[in-house]
Amino acid sequence: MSSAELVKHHEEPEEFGGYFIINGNERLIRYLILPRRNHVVSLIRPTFANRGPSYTPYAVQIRCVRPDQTSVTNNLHYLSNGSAMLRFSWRKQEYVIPIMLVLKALVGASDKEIFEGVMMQDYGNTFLTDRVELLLRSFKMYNLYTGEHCLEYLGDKFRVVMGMPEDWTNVAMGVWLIQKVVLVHLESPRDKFRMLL
Amino acid sequence: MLQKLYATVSLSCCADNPDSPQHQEVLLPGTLYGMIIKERLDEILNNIRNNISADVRNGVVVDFNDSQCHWTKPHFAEIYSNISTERYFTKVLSRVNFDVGAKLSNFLATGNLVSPTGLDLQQASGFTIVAEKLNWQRYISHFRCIHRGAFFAELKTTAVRKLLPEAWGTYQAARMFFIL
Repeated sequence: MSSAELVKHHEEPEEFGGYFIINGNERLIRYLILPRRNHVVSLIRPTFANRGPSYTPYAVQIRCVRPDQTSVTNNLHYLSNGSAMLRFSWRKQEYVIPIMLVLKALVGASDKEIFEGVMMQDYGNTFLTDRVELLLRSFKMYNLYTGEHCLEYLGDKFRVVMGMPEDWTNVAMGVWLIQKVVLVHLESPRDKFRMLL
Repeated sequence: MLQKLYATVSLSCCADNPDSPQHQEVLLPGTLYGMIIKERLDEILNNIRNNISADVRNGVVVDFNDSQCHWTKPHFAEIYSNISTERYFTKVLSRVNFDVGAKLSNFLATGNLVSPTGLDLQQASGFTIVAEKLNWQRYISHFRCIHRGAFFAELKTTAVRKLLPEAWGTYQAARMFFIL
């Protein structure tokens, strides 16, 4: 609006707005620095090792942003036994789940699919082959074999926390959990799976 | 992400510096405002649902179609179609607090975020400031300055936070208008 128009609307001629008047004060919301969206950052922090037994200082973090600009932060922690844990927070409470559980629950991935996906043909890299093998082996103790099993397991464990209708099946609960907290900037489970690898 | 994690562990990729602007972005006021509104609306809907499920559990008669009026002329129904005449549902709605504005005005007045989820932010207070009008430059600086975050001030790290080459322009601008 031009100065003349502003005055016509009972505003100051050089009014540029951008603030709220609260009790006569001009208050404004600050710009705030946040971690960059949808962008994986690797972190080495000694404090991560204090999270529990077999935790190490290594982790990667991503702040995922939905189309409506709300965000969810996912962390992936490296454990000294070679596997990884996914950390997220729900209603200010933090939860950690094995990454294998999520990978399987997303697309029902086979062990081979996960192995090939992480290795990307670099079979000479024995550091990586060892880690991935440990990752795959460490999941055997759960005795969960298909994506359906994993979703059911997840849904069962998070049923109380999520507070969704009681008549939902465990699988529906698992699907909902993954859609709500894991890599929320991506729509399809396949895309989430690819990003997690 | 897994690949990057393993690369970090094997040190074939270095740890990223969260202080570097290439790993940062700015939260805009409108975005934050929208997040609060969204959360409040979610809260309202949840309250309605909890109310109804509590009634179901307590054995209250829950009938969503207990309309008290039966229009004799069709055009009346049309005119009043936006008025809820279902007794039970109207009662449920009257029990729920629909005030979205109160939450927002509280947020603006205090700068404190009262939220059950925390909105994925590192701090719960200090989101708003008063723009002092001591002089024009100081006043305008409030509209331009970018805040590093309240948690940053309490950070106990002793690592050097140096001026990074790619940050030169940003920090020069920030230094000119910085208010901590």
